[in-house]
Amino acid sequence: MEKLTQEFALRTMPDFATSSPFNIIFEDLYYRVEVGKDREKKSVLKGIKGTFKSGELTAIMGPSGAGKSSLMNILTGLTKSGVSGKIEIGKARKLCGYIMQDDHFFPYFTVEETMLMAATLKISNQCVSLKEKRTLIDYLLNSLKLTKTRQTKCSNLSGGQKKRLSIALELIDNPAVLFLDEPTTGLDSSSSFDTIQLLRGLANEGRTIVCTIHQPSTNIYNLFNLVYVLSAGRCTYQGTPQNTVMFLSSVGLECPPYHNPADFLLECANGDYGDQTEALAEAAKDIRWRYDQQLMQGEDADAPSETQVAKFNESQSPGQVQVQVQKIEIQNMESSKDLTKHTYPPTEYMRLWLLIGRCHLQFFRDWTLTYLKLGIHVLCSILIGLFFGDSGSNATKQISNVGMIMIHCVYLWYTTIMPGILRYPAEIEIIRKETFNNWYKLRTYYLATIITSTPVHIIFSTVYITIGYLMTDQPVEMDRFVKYLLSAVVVTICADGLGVFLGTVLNPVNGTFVGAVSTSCMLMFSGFLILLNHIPAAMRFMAYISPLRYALENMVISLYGNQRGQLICPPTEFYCHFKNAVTVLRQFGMEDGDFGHNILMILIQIAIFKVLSYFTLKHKIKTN
Amino acid sequence: MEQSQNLLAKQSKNVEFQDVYYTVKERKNFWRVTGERRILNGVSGSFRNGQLSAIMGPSGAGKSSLLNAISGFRRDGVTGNIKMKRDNACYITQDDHHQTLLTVEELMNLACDLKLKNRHKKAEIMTDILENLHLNHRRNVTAEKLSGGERKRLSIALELVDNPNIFFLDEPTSGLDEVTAAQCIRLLQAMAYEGRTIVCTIHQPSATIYNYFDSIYVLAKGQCVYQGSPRATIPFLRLAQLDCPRHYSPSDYIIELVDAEDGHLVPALSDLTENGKLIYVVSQSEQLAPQQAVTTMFLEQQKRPFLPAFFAGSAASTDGTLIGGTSALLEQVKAFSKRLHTDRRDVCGFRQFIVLMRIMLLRITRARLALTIQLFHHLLCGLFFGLIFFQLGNQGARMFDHLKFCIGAVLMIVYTQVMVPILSYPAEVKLVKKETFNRWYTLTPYYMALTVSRLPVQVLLNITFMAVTYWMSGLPQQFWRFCIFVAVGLMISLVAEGMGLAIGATFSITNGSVVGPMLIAPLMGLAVYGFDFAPQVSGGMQLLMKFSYVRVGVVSLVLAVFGFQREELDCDAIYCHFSDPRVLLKFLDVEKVSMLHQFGLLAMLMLFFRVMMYISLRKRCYA
Repeated sequence: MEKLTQEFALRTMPDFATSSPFNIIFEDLYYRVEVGKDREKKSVLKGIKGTFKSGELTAIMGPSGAGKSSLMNILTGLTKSGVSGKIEIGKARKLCGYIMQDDHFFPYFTVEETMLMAATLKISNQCVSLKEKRTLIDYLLNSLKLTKTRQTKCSNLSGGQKKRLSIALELIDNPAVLFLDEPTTGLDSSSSFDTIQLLRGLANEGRTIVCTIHQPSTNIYNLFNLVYVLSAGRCTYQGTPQNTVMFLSSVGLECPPYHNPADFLLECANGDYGDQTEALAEAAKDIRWRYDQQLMQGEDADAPSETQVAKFNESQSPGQVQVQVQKIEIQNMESSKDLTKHTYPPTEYMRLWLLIGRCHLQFFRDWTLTYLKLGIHVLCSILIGLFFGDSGSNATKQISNVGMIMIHCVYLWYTTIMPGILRYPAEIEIIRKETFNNWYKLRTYYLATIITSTPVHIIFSTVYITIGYLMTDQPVEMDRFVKYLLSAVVVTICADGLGVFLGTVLNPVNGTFVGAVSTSCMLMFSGFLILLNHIPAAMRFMAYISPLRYALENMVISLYGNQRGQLICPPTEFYCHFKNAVTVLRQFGMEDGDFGHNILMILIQIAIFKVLSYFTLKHKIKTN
Repeated sequence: MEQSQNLLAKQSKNVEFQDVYYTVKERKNFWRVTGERRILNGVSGSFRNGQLSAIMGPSGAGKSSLLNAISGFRRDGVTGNIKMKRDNACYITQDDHHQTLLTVEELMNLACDLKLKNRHKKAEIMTDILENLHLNHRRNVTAEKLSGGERKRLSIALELVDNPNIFFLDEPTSGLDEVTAAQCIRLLQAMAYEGRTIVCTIHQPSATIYNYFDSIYVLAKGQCVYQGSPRATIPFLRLAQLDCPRHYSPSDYIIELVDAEDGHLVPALSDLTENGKLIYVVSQSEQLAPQQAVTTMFLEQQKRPFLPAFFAGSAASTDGTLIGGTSALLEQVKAFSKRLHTDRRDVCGFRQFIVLMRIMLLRITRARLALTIQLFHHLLCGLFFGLIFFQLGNQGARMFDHLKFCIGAVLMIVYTQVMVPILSYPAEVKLVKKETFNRWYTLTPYYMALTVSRLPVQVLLNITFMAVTYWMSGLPQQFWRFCIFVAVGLMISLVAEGMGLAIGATFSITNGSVVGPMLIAPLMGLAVYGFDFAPQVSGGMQLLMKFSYVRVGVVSLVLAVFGFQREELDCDAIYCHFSDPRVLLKFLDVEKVSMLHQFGLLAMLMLFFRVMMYISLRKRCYA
């Protein structure tokens, strides 16, 4: 086992040992955005330049509005318009991983499940077997100190653990470059230190790691290999943390005792000691701040204190170890051919099946979505069944029977459209992260959710309708029941489609309100409150686009059409107006109803809603 | 003598606490309590008047718990001695919740009207506060357009109007950048030097911000590991053989030390401070000098009369006899009444009601877009409804259409009125909780103002819908019948809104949007039940149907349309069985039903939902 772990550790190395380093170089980088009503151009980045090397952990720092996030977004490719200048990244962007500031996971999966799902989505089973993936996961969790939490649900992780899990997920397919946005925001001091220390270790393995950071403490600050400070769109420092004090001294700014150099640097950049941007920007062009050796030999430099020397040696030793490890790597590489094998992602079809499995697992873990809703369905159908008793066969209760059918339609519609509105807004951050980092394509995810939710709607509406059907003494004929059930099922799926569409177009509150209003309108034109042939011609078009109308008509036709026998007239009644089933159909103007045509109309509306929802979801993910 | 009195007055504004414990129950799920966890371990300390104090520590140390315990924001699970004049303190939460549609000036006006007894000084007070907090130039900006720092300063400004002596702030620099954070702390420092006691929790301040504080209180694992001035931090650590490196901020260093995995330094440092009983300051000769933190002599009988103690006292009667128990209960009632008396407001409830009412009406008119949408929605629904049932009101052959007309009108009102408060009200509950805790108003005036301020909108929307529907459908041209028709619609609307508010005050948006439709379905089932076999409905179902306001509404509407000796309807066919309205009423078995009785049922149901909402709100605000 340990040997296999070492083999995987070695396997993550070959890309770096054999190919050119993944340095990031940018020169004359400008970024302009339009602000205000007059669309005036504002420069966010003003001709900055820099080099982020592989094997180094780089921090981008600066006050708010300095352009840190803009620079990060430009380097990752999130921002493209308004950018000019030269950017070099060693290879294609597909080898990059971007870890956002906020960590979003599906709350019902454990750490191990989340990792395994990501591994199967990123690496095909044909090049790495499942057993090897588990070994890789064990290695990553161990490296990131997450082994103890492998059986913990993601919703129960602490802030630091969530951050490390985000990093672990993106390390599965061994990216050469990692970008992290504010990896310590929201973490406490020990979690922050652990995270940055971990990133330092990952960088020592040969990766290029770039992160923005807000206000690091001294011990965290000293872990970085390179600090890149932005102020008012310009670079005001580019060097090692250990050179910060001397750099500021060179422009006449002395760091007070017992003061964090990072804080002092940011205070100078902020203008707390006068406007120093020009002086700092000029001094920052000197390349010697990146190298400690040259500075040690400078005649004018003060002799560094013992602690500084100790820190200097400490920061150098990992690099030396790295060099030795790399030499060993090259020797092993020459002796082993199979280590040159590259990993590649699975096919999109395989990802579809993996996502379907994930959606199912997620669905059954959410008890409010499944068991509670099923319980409510059963309870409601029993309640309504008790209300209406024998309305299915009692000739004196046929108006109520049709009213009950309307209630069934409205209930299924309403309890499906509301969760549909709320589904994607809750997950959109996760989808955005995963699609941006090339876990899968958006259409694959969308198709998986459709394939998962449709059987659920079928099962739930079947349970609801069956209980109601049996309790109210409806005719026990299989063809009638099947038609009746089919109408209820398709209207439920249609409600889900409309709900998802509203949820992706509007925010949840407005979406729910519009859902309620549209339900009211559809209810008006459903054919129960007013007969279809009594609707004025000017308003009749509304009935054609009301799915409730088609469903209600189909359910009534199922029960009363097709030569149904006479209903039972209680002995206490002298005359029953609705004894003949045809009378009920005539009463509601549904004698000429066509079952197939109505089903087709609902299916068309389902297709329209599903397609529209996909495009609105895509648009919502691309915009922020 | 005068100097002595000033000293006493100054000391009375200090916040002191001794041997404070805070325990929470650990739950596996909603029903099972698996154990207890202690968050605060008998800490002591004091926050002096005229000083800016900070509570620091790593995550999980208990910073917010300590702030919540001594401020009274959290009462369950808190034991120990706390001396704090509650009637002149305020608590500012980490999140800034404001009425988004009101401007800075309007919010300040609201706070002044609710808190100040003398109104003639209002303008002067407002200007002074806004200028000191650099918000005067943002008077006419709505709260949602302020920046993070401005929003934080607005939260402080709103509480400054009645000049509280003690401020508690939870993470006031959270979410702010370095510049804004420093500005905020400097502002708090200036406020403290004006003679206030200011206590805030802060996460990890820079050295510059650290040195702005007058007093630092560091917590770790529920214990106090340091209390004193920032300048004394390094000598204190040296006392424990811990030297701070030159380019380390002392705040970073001390948190790093106590946040280590083993935590072996926490007991040692806590012993040096006696868990908060000692304050370390640097004397003139740069010598470290501990002082006593707690100067108040806490006595047993001076413990605060918490409500649990109220019942525990009566239950723990010593002699166990009835007389003894009654006597103990009487004693507790007296203490409770005294507490209520001392907590009386400067501004009476009626004036609070007037001020809140005015603000709520202003907010309704300010949300013009929402109002326009609702009005348009009601008008459009009325038009649709009127066109569907156009001139059918007098057709004797269309009895079932008349019945559906009544059912449809009720359903339209119910669906609209229930969903809107379910969606919009949960966000407002947070605001109400904050404002009632900081004694802007009490819950009863707020509740009354909320109820009354919604009435004009309800009346307007209902008249719009019912008027269009009534006249287009060709119902009799009798104004009094129209008035009854509208009155029924309004009553149904108020019941439905009450139900929506009760759900909104109890559930979140997601859960409310599931509970709402679920509750409407049975009510709707009862509404359409049995109209075609009314005489056969059993007594049990009759009773059950009275609890469905949808059903009661339909019956009321039928009576409004066909009752009160209406003339015969027109008949186009050879014979119209239901052209005589009395036949219809008899068929529906409602001929003996009284309209007043139906109105009474609707009123009772409205009262029920409103009371449910009030109870939920009280439970949320005073938990």
